[in-house]
Amino acid sequence: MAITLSANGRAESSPAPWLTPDLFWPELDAATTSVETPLGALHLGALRFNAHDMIRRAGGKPIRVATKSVRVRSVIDSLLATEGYRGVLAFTLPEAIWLADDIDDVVVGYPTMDRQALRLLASDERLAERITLMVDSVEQLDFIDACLPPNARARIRVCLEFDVAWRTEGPLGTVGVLRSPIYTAADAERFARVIVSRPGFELVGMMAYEAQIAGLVDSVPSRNARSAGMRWLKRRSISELTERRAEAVAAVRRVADLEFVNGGGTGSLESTSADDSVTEIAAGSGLFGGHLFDDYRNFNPAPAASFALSVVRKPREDTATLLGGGWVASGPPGRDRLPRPVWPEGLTMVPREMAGEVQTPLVGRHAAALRPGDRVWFRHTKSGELSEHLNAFSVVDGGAIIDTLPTYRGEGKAFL
Amino acid sequence: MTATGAMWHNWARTEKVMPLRVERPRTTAALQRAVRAAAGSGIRIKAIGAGHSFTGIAVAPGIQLELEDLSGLSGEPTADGLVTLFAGTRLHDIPRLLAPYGLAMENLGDIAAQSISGAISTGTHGTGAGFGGIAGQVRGVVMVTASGDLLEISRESHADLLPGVALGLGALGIIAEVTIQCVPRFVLHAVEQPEPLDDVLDTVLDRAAAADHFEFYWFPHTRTALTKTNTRLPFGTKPKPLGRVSRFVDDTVLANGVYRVTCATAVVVPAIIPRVNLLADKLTGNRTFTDVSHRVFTTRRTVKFREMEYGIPAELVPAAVRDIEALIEQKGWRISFPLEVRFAAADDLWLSTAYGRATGYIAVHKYYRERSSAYFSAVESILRGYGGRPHWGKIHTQDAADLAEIYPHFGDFLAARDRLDPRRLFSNQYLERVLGI
Repeated sequence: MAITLSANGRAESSPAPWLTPDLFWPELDAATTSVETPLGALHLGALRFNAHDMIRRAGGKPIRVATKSVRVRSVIDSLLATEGYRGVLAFTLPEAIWLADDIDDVVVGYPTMDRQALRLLASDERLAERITLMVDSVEQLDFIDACLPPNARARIRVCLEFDVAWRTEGPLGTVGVLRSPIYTAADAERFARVIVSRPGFELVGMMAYEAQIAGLVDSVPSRNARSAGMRWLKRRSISELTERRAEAVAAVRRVADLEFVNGGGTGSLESTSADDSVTEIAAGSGLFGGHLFDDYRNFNPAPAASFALSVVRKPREDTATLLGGGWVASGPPGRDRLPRPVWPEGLTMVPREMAGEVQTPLVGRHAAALRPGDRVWFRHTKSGELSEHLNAFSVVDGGAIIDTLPTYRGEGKAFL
Repeated sequence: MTATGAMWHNWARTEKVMPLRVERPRTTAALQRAVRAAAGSGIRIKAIGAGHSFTGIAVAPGIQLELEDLSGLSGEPTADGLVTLFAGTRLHDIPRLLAPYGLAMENLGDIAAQSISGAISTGTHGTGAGFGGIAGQVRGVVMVTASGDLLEISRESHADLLPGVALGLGALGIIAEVTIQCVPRFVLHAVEQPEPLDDVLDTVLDRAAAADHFEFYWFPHTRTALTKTNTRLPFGTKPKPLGRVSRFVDDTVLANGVYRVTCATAVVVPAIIPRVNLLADKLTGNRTFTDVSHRVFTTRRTVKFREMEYGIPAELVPAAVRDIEALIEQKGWRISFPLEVRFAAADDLWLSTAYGRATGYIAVHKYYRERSSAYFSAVESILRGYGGRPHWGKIHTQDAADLAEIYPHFGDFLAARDRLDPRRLFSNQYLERVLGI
């Protein structure tokens, strides 16, 4: 069953219960007492808030759901049933094939070398019409031809990935992620000409995902100078990128009739939507509202997803140890990728253990009062990582569980 | 753009709220997106104007829209003087926008800080027995409905809703554009003079009928009324404006500066109020000047106060003022601000204080630091006894059940609200009180 992400019924007069943690977390805790830990909760009001706030921030451009940040099939379906969301950005080809059963617009966000999946795609007209592969080099095209030759397969839709990292001359070096070798408008046009000249391929899209703008925290209260630096960097990078991307898109459009130009990231919806060369935005992390986004300046997502672990032992009076650990977000490993204990307030991880083991000790103001059997609530950093640890999310609305939604993993689908 | 985390309060500091989110849409499309996002999340959304209402009519705990960036003329005025303005346009900017076309607003209140949409939605009015309030000049609005769609309401399109939305309390939708009927610009000849209160009360109805714009102030504890009589003259009449110095002395020093000091003192030493009022009575008034209309209609107010105002049938004004005078005498209260008495023509807007009757307005004020409850509630019960209707943007205590009895079209308005905003996306605590849940 899919949940409804458009609110119906009366509008709430107290608009955002999560702004009052003293009420929000105990209510979530009370609603889920019947579920064993580790448990994941999705607060429907908060999820609706995030989903619609992202639409608003996208400034009228459709949002392509980045599935890696959700990994819950029915949530993806609910988003696609909401005006403002269109299509998905999958992370592997087997996942895309699974999704394409119902979803007719699936772009695989990364190049794929899965022979078996490629053969399946290339021999099924329906799948081939629905799925678009990411490419940035001739070798990838050759690999696909090697799986099934062009004359023996369906036409493969491909999307050209453009590298948006900012390659500075100075000490900053390259700002952004290492993704595609296609960096200039000339590179893009050259490769586009290669694609269209090859039989069995159709160039339908272009992607330019600005990790350095979407993924960088820019408003940490305790680190003002660094945050100001981040904002400066983002501004510079946005202006550099906007020009270069527009040129590249224009160059590729001279070669092929693009159906879409994808830009994106939850953290950059405003700036990406302002770029006229982009037709759609990929985003996903903002939906579940990880704590990474607490320190962004432009927006404040609600804590839609959270998880609870149980205290199982007290190695010392001032320490409570939970069963469960990990839940680390993607990105450069560091403290900011760890889950954050949010309820009861005043708990911190132990520096020498943190959250890396199967158990997680906590110290702090409230740790002494915790007893075995008590539960502690956490928020994750980005999104997606929760679904890799849980079979299902309990959906909470109006102080009660209204639905239980299996994750990919719960459906037996661990794609990556 | 979006800004969050700041406390909003109204001009009079009677209301404050920290909205979940503040948005300043720059285009109508962005305004629509804001409404759609709110609707999708089930969170209430409201536009605030300049914050000049004394009530919580615009308070937005959910999503607060600031429409300052949606301002100015939308297109050229028509040959017959129809002018379309974006919702956030401030009244004080309108003369400048209309000047190139030789147009002016027909009538104005004395405060010009409000936005056009805020002014019409709360029933802001000026004075003049022959003229309606600002909402009476409305010929159409473009409104963002609860679904985020644009709805055009005019005499040609959804005309049945016009008497509701032209003065809609913000309860029916978010106004994006307002079309008003303007008139060729004109000048006003103003005569301000102190006169014996009893003489004024005896003749007030004839004087209000004879003049274009008549009003008077009465300082409690004195026997003098300060009358203001404005006569409309064609544009081009030789102006004799107040010199900058005299305007400064009258409006800034006397109306605001002396007042600030005296009001602040009077909070501490109420016994001096009668003497202060006698002084104000001597210092103010007695001047004649001619200037373009908006400069005569409006004044700048820098002394903060709280205000209650009721509209009653015009012919009952003298009796009501005498009742209030007797009340103050009997209770021995010290009242530092004057009573303000103004007039307006009957109109046909469902929630207009002047609906269906020639109206006299009586307003009472208190300095914002003074406790106002006893004085206001006693005056309120007098004015309610005269069939009074409370100004939507000023302090009052009435609720939906009371208001249903004094507005013949109250039911029609509620039906329109049920139709346009069944989910109460545009509601807030104040609207729940005056319109129901």
